[in-house]
Amino acid sequence: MHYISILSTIVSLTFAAAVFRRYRQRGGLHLLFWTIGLVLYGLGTLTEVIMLFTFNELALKIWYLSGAMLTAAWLGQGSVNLLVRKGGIARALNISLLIVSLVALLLIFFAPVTSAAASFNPGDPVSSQYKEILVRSGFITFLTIILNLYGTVTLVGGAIYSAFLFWRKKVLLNRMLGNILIAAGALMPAIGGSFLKAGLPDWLYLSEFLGAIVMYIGFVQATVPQSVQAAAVVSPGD
Amino acid sequence: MSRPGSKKFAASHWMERLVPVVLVILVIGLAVSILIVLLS
Repeated sequence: MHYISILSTIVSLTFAAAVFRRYRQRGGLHLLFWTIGLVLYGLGTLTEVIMLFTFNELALKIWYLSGAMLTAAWLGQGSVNLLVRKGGIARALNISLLIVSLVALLLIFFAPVTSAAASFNPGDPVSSQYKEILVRSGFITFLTIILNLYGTVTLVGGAIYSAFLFWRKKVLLNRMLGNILIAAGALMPAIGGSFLKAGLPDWLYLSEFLGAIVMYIGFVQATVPQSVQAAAVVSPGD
Repeated sequence: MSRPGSKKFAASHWMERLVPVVLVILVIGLAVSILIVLLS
């Protein structure tokens, strides 16, 4: 089932291109952060594809950095830029995320790889083998947890909050539905991580694929052109 | 239901019941995923 990563890569990079096209048309830092987050999503699944065929140290490190550490945080930062109206706070968080991401990049690229790399089996998912291969300091694990918490809360929480606002005001049905789908799609790979613990690593790949698809449908739904726009309400469709 | 292109929409009977349930499920899902991250 882990060949599904090929489809996840295609979907996430196509999704990234669609968001970037919208950024070029309309501007908005939130769209730029979402684009970067989706490119990271695609890099994570692309490196999974590479390691279906062979072990590569650089691919493993890019996989961990993008898939395990940065994707959720950068997607969530897009939501922060959309929803936090005080520019100073959003800007400070942007700079903080940039610095933390650079630190994470340095830590991962200088992290040693053990001799277990020699016995890497491309037939098994990388997610079930990386812990024996990539030496992660306590600080790397700490950063991974913090970045994932931040990303999950801001991305999923932001989409739920937006959907709730539209529901309460009974405005822009398409954006309400789009936000519900974005929240549901973002939860899939987040919860999919528990399949790893349950000894079902293949299901993580399925959750990544379904997550990308559902978020993409949500984005398309939220950005359906409307003849009347509610300027006072914020949403990922902006 | 909403009219295409209208800003306001009128929720149907099933939507009045379904959407709050879906939102609550999503909030529970968010809480579960936070726990997964913390326990990983």
